Amino acid sequence: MSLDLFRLSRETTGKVLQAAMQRGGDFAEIYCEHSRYNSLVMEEGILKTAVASIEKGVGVRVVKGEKTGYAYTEQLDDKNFLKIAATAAAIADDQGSDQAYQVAPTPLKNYYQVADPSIDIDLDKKIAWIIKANDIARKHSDLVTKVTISYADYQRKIVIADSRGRLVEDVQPMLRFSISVIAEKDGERQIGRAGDGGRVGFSFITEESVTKWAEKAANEALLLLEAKQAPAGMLPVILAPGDSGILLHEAIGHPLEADFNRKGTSAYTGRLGQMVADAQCTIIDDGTIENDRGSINIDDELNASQRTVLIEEGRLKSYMTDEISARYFEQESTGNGRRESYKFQPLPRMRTTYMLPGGYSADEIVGSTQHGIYCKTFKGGQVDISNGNFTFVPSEAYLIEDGKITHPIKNFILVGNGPDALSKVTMVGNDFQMGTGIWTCGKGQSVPVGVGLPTIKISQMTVGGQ
Amino acid sequence: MKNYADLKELERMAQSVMQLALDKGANTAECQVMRRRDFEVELRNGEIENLSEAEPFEMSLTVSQDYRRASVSTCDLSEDSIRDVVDQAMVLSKYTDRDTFYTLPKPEQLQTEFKDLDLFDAKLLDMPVEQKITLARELESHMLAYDKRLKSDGASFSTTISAGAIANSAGFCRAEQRTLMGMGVSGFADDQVSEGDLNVGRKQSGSWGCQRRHHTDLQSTREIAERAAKNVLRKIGACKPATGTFPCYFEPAVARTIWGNLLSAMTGGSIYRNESFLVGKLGEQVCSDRVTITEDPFLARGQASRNYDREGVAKKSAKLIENGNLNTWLLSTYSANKLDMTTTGHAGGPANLILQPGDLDEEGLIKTMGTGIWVISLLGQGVNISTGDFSRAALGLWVENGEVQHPVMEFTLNSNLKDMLKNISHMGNNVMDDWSVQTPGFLISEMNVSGL
Repeated sequence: MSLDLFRLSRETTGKVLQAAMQRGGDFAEIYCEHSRYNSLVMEEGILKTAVASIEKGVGVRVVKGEKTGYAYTEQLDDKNFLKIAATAAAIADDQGSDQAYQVAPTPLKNYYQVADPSIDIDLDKKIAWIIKANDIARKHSDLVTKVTISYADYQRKIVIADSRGRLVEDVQPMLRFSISVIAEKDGERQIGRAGDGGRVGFSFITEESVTKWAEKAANEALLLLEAKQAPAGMLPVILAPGDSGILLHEAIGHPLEADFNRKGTSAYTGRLGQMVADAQCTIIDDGTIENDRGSINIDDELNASQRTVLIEEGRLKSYMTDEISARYFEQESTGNGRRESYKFQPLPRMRTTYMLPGGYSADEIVGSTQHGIYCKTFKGGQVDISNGNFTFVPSEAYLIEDGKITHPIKNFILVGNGPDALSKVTMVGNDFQMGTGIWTCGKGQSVPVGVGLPTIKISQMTVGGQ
Repeated sequence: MKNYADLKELERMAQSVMQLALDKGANTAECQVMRRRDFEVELRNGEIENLSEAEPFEMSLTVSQDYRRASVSTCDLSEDSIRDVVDQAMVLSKYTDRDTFYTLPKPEQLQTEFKDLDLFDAKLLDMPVEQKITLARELESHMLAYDKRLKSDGASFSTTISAGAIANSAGFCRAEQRTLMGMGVSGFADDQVSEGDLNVGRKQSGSWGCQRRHHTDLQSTREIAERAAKNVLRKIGACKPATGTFPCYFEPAVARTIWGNLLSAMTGGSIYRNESFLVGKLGEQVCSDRVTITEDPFLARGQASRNYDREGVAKKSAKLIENGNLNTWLLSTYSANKLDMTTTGHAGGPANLILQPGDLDEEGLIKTMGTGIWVISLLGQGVNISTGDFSRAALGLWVENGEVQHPVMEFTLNSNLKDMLKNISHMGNNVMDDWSVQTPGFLISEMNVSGL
């Protein structure tokens, strides 16, 4: 058991839990994490940066109702473990008890069994792929003036023990390979980006994949050089399959995180069981997809990962909960309690959020649109969960004229309102794809997530061009 | 005066890590050691919801051998672990390519005079937890008392006491300690929507806070709470505005984000990478002549006050933008080398920035604007520093003939930063000195609004 890695024994673990529960509390847990992170950046044709970092710490949390006490330390010895336990315990104010705690290992189902973790691969091999990607992107066109390749891998080892007697360990691998290309023509500069990654082994990177990413990034930059200024006003918007799932992440994902609903601040508070989207929409948040960036074997407070139906045929079925909000709503946790590292407390967070396919072909959907826009790839998004307003920023997008995709367009964002936009999903495609974007969700803490979508049509959305 | 950490000890530590790397054959080494004590209390509806404390201690090191550079960091500061990461840095630096632009500053560029900037409030070391909780509680109750429609999304009080040392083989070594405390409150209220609108659960939220280096400088809880309350209430009943071209008033909190965009376009890294809309514009008019930005690193108790930058280079006061003219890039030693210039002491970003105010107060600005949008918040990415393209969602107030009519939301503002900065027609006199960028609000004569 990797408790040794943190200079902890099962016996000490029991004592620390006892110290954490000394003033009472619903439960307490010890969260131990050892993370190694490596990154390499090639810029201007040279490998400029190599960074390696290690984070290792132990946090103790005590929860009583909606109250949380938390403390962590990076000085790993019994004295400090007991000290942080006492600090966290201060949140509770009961008599407590002298109950002894024993923990026993609980096995996990593994959704990211990796034979060749990138963290263990020789630097030479990583650098070889970086050079390859750089060459392909540079040679793609004379208009390419700059290429940046960014490679990163990390491995997060966690051991969690709690006052309910559970002891779980998990090893979470991660790989990310991204390429950005600048192309210039007649004094204009545009950037294209591509890449992929996930909880995969090093063999995920192949000649074929590197070529695909490099060409995709270069083509996006070249395309944007030809793009026209986007229009302004309310227009039909068609989203391409895959990374357009960012719409779900912003429009419905965040407002369905249970902390907002427990506190009553979300536009969806109190709307469980109601129709909140068109009946063609079934939306899932899933932590169990093999090797996916958003997958987790267990959440960061020992609740099993699962596939959670959020919206079923337009009807709101479930929020995404952490343990505190699950107890508040008197339900089992959906396993969405995640944290960036031992420096943070868990919060309800998304895993991989996607919409199930519908009945239309992509051609039918595009063909049904007289004048609108078609969005293929995205840079990111943001939401105000209380009024439901969200934005997301396309990078590759086109005009649709007379049922056909025509000119590339640039410099705009899409703005909508969650309940309104999802009720205007008039067509759902049969061409579901998981996104390949390297999405990181920020909510005070960063966690890796995934998105997916079939082609969909939103009959009306505000397009923020000119 | 009571200290948080033994600064001499931190300096010795940074220097010894650096020396270890030099002994192992590094040509240059830069080391940072940082320790912190963090405290935060959050409460909601009068009940403490979260109490957290931590004391992280971290070290980072950058070495180079024959211009091949590598960086490592760790929070395990045991002797063995430090030896391991230094070894790791030395190995990594054999793999990177030669980059002759990577050098350390010249000895004569390093800071040797250390002004007392008064960034440490020793009294914070002994501030009782009860007092912190009381302040958070006051904030929340003042906000709730302001209007009965308001509900609480929580109030917080947090403190950070930190000490950090920087050492590099150019001959710099210095440790300093700082304090920072902040408190804030968030509220929300149910919002009415028009008939047929599907967003029946719509709410509006808003918050305000205050962050200071010294306890005695904190604003009153009543003042902060009132601002938070108004930030919620003024959004109630928002609707979508019309599509068209209108002047806009950016209030100080929003104005600050535009200066942030300008500053990132002036950063050496953006310039040598050819990824800034300001490339080639040094010495030229890039903003309206009403814009003058002074960097003052030596402001007592300032949020971004410092005697030296991350490389130990001496800071100086300077006008970065003067009557709209772009006087300087923001350079580190590396970006200066890339551009064949000299470092301006901006490794790690700019210090306090002071915007020169204009004559009009907020009401005067609104009257001058006539019909347009008072922007109170911006949402989402959508700024391209490389091209200057600007497209962001916004929330604001619709103004007609100088009078506020109703709130507006779910629209976008679109333009290009090059035009926006030149179209600043008036700077206000309502400077907010809460942040490291001290700015009044300003008017931009024309923005593309996409709404209905």
